[in-house]
Amino acid sequence: MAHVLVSPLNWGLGHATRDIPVIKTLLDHHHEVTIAACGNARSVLEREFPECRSVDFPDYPVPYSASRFFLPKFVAFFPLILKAISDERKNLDLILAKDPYDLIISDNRLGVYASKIPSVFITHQLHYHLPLIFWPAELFAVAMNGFQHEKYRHIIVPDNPPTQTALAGKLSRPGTDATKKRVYFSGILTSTHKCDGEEDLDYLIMISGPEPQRTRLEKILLQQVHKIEGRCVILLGSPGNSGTWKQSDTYSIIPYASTRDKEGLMNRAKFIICRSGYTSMMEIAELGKRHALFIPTPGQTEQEYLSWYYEKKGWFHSQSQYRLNLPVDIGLAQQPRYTGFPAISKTKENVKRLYDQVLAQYLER
Amino acid sequence: MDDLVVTGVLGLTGLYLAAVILLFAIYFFGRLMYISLAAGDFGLVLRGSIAILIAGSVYLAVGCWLRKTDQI
Repeated sequence: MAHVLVSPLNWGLGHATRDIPVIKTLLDHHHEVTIAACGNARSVLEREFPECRSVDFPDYPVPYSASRFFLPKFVAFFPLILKAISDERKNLDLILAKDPYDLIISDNRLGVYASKIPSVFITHQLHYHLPLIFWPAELFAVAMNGFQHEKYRHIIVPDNPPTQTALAGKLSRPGTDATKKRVYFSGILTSTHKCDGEEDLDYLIMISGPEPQRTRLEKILLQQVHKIEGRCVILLGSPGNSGTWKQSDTYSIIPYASTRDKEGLMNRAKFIICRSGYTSMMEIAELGKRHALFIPTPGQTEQEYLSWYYEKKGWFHSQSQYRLNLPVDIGLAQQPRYTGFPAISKTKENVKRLYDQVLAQYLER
Repeated sequence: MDDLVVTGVLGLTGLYLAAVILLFAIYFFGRLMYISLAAGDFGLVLRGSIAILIAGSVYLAVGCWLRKTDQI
């Protein structure tokens, strides 16, 4: 039995939830897992794995912006993030001094690695997408990524290899030799499962992501939702509230749902409306949903790129929240030219292969 | 200090320095053009405008080429 430290980033729940199948597989192979995280990411994993020990491990400040110009604020936040990485390295030393570990799994936490312990890094962003005018910064980021990847034995990308079926497009394309040597494309990893059952919900609207843009999208959608016909559930993703606010005969509003309840709603939905965050994309791919409308968070270049990429591939329709016309955009998204994601291998198969081909070599010695 | 942090600090310093140099260049050329315009030296204004246009076009063309060849 080996001891593994799993440390996801707490910028949204996406990093923690995609680690759930990995942790489950480690536990199935009778390894001991310690979770090192903070905030909601830690809470989710503690709830999911009460048998695992968890330690509080602060990460980086979140530079989300109220305006559609996210980039300037993100650049201004760099010194704070660097300071947080420096603290993270010191805190990691304290954690590693207390217990012996055989493997470290860092999910997008740049400072979580050790020279004497095999370390692997999970990320879907080998490449950052910036507006064309900032191309030197994009080149610079590729080089910096390569330098950072040298710290790890493997870079695990929860996507298919860069072919026609890559869900993250250029984001998951390795740019330097250091990255190319270490990269392992695991295929999608998500805690959401496909369940048997009827699709009895016409629309599921999931309003998630960072504030204040989450609340802005909520206002835009609530003003338009009465214009669509059919049974609709609106999931607000607002943990401060609880319960169901029934609004009319055709739609209901749920302020917050657990991951299991959300999974149930997603399985029941014929059509999903959500942000184009990569975690949601993996969930939609896992469930094999073919009809969806994506609304990228303004200024988040990753989501804006994915929206553009899916439109270009003819997989899904996207619309900016500033130009959204719900009935019109739903009509467009249902056109036959949008095919949904191509057939790809699912999490169960992917995580088994990931364990056998990558993780086992460090744990079964 | 950890080498990751040192590299980050150096990289960041370089990035901010590049931004300061760019802003200074914009200020310098803007001022030069304004003075030339005020002095009635339209030849210099024309040559300056053409130079800025060419430099901007080359910059964007390199970006487009990098994107087209999947390097960024």
